[in-house]
Amino acid sequence: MGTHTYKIVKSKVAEGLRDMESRKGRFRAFDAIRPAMLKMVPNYPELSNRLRKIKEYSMDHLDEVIAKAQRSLEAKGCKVYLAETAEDAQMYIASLIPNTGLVVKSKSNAGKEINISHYLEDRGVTVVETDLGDRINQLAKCEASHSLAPAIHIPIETITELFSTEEGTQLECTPEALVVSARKGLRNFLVKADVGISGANAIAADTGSIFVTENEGNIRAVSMMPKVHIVISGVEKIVSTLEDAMQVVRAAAVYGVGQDIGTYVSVISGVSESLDPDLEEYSHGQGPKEVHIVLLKNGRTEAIAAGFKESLYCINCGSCLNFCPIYGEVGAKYGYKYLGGRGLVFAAFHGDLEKSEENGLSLCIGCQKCQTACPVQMATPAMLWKLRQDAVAKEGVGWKKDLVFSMLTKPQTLPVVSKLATTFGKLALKESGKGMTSRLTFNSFGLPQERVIPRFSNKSFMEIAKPKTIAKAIKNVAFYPGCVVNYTETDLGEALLHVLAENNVQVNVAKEDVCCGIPSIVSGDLAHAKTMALKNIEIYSSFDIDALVFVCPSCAVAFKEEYPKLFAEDSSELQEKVKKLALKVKDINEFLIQDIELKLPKQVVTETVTYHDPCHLARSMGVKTEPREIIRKIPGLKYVEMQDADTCCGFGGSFSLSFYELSQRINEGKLKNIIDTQATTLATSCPGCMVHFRDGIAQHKMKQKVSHVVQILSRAYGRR
Amino acid sequence: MSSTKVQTILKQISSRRDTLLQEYPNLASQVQDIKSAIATNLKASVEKAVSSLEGKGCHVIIAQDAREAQEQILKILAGNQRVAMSKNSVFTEIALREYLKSNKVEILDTDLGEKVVGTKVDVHPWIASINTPIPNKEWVAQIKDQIKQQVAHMEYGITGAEAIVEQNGTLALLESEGNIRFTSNLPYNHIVVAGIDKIVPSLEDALTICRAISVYGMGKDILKYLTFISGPSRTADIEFRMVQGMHGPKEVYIILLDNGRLSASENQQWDLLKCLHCGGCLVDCPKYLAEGLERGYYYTGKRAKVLAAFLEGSKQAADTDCGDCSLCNKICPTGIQV
Repeated sequence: MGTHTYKIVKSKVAEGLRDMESRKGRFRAFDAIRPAMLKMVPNYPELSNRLRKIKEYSMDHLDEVIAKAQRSLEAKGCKVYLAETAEDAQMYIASLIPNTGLVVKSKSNAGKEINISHYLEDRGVTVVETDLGDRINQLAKCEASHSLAPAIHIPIETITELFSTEEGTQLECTPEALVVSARKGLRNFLVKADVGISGANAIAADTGSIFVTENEGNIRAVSMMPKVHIVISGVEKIVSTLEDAMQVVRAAAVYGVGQDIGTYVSVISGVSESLDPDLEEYSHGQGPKEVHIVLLKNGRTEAIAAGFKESLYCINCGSCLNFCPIYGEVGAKYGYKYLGGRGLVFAAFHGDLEKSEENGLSLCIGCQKCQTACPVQMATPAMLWKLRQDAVAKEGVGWKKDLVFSMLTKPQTLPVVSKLATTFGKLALKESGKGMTSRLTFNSFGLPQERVIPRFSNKSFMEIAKPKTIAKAIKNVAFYPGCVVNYTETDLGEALLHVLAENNVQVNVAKEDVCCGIPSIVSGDLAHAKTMALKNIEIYSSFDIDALVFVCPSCAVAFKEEYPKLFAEDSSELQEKVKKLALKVKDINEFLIQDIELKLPKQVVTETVTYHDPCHLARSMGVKTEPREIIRKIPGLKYVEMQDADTCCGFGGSFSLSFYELSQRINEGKLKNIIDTQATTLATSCPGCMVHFRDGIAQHKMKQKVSHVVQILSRAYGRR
Repeated sequence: MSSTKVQTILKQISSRRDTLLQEYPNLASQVQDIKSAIATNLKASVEKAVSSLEGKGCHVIIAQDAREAQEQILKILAGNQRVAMSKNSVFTEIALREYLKSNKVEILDTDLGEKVVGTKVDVHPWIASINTPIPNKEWVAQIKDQIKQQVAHMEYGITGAEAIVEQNGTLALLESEGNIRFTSNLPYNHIVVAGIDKIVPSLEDALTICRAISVYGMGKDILKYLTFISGPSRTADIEFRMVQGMHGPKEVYIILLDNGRLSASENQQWDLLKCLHCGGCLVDCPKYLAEGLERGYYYTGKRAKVLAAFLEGSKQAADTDCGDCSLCNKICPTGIQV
């Protein structure tokens, strides 16, 4: 990412963070939707896997399903236009609409993709949005801020003014009065309109049926009132059967808003008809006389070829946005046409990686909340990382990261840096009551003066680690400390050695330390990542061990998931080695609960503890119950579960350096939940989260102690 | 002349149906499973459906008989003397049009066939004009546009429903013409009348039922419009506060009609509860052309026993001797044997 692009992103983030009115609206929607969604999803346990298969089939057989859908739609009397590009689609649609005509329109993501409203308006056509939220935005000249509640950022007083002007009388400032006014005004447009434009949630290839779902009834009106109905839809909306299409609309409701089904689901199979042939000859029923289906390709075939097939499984339910910490804080500034991370994938395959970068490609923090919230389990973070690789291949990773990553590939360079930092760093850094803060401001490195950064230890963990020799060891493991433990959280390393020794587990520690490479991987810099990975694979394959344990889940994920991917194209010998090592990877919580019988701690620990789930541990590794189980075994300890324990803390490694303010804002939400528990200790299982929480707690003048689960357990085993 | 028209239509349906049935070999057995499950457990299904419908914000009224249904509808109209109404066999069952007219309620028939030929005899569940030549086609085109415009400014619309989903409180409305869509969407109040036998367990089952009606009754893979409605129209676009009646109805009233169905269920007369009124049995029936067209399709051969079972004032339909061709038994999607 070039400096110029970085500046653009920074300013978008700043703008998003400043707009607190929009944030209030977004969170009002989240607060209603999130619990409803989480409650509704378990009622449909088969839905997600079934839907993923349906969409996967369509994308694997795209040409075939397009051809089938086209045949069926035409057999039902529709006119089908397959548009290769946005321009093709625009021109075709414009040709169907009379000059100075009136168009009533419902929400259409594909319509937004091709900018159809502005295109038509420039040609003298009047376009009236009929969805209430879109209509408010249209009158207020705003962009949609949420996919399902597009005007959620506009206060009711403003809406009252807009609608009063529109109707020509002063309206009462209540949602009810405004809805009555909107209904009346829009009904007049609907009655007079020449053309209705809608999108489609799904298209069934077997029967040529368009599925649209909604709560307001405006899509029904748009598709039944005017004489011409135009449907704009991406080709990815096509599914094989009517029954499949039903699953799509169901998932949109269940995942998008936590409803079992949208208020209205309309299934439109062609042009209306009279079943009496005499009547048919003259009237063709009472619906629109013409139904045009514009199927939009616009880069989708290229996306599939480039390995972004999954992005086309998306059903636009918006569930990912409801759980994305970045969208939560930055809002509509994050994304391009389609909001959020998935919009950035789309931007890239519309031929413009630059657009993708400018609109926040570097912002995804990788928490994977979107993926667990997604009905098709779309791996958006992985796709964004892949795009970052493309960006790095094109422009390089940027000199700052390049410098750091190349240092990280060499063992013992960080110790040198950290020694330099502790010796000379005192010139720049100072001990403050909160910990270490900066004397100078290094904003461009994400180090504003107030940031509390961890103290570098005089000696690295690897220099001081002395694992006990266990006479009759029940297991033999190696411990990978990772950079944070090695250079700042050395006590965590010591705690791990203590806990494992107490449990008669023999620990081996390597002599050389090399970063796991995850910071390079998420930045798209695979060359450096591979160098680091190879060294680690060499070092840890040489141990004869039962397990390779980690206190840092991000490092664990590197070994377990990322290394096999990095070397997927290499020699089978190397692949075998990587796989073998990956199988030995265990988070320490996992190891203590699953692999051994944990020795019960005796020492009473009189702390009130709450637990934060690190993203990589909870979602990549699926470890959520084990740490809680360990905490609950500790005598005297009071455990309180916090709300949304598994949402991201905002750290994200180098993310917190690039976007410190955003990183802090995300953290603030967590801090509120921690305060609510009245806990004295925040437990977690990731040194990265610990560093970030310590900073947040200091900034907010809070008192909570931050500990890794292993540290608390170590205390309960009697370690001081 | 008239019999030629109906014969042509039926022949077309028959040939399309034969082709389609090869594509849907399991459709009938699926439908039978759905209908059997409900017929045998009707009372419990009604309770669940009522609670789901109310959960969606609908007003639900269980009418014991035709008279109660009529009176309840009149009460909902609250003195309003104009109502838009689509075509559905249940209106014949409870003689709703006659009742409303006698109470000075003006009915706008939105089904084009009914609008053109009237509603005196219910000759076919889907095609009102199956037996009537259309003399003035220009006139038809003209009144068509008027219907929609009028409904756009009316307060009440009455429709039937082909299925009611027990699990979600969802109504399924099926049609080809498009009038049911606007009758159910444009007015502020939507009144739905449906026999309790229309209840199905799931949304997927409702889809299956609608497919079966299309295939068996009309020889179409699916009729042009299928609409699922779950409660009143709503929006939360202003400050995320829920308001009803945005573009569609603000109030949805469901009249669930018992009219002898619960006792049929208790007496194990399952067949009476399985009929979809798809009209499939009429397609090949030799007696339909003679009797059904004259008196209405409810009175067609042995079928009359099933079709007319709940019919207002005609509960003892004559067991007409119609020979033993049994064609209707072969083609019934729900496997009703008469």
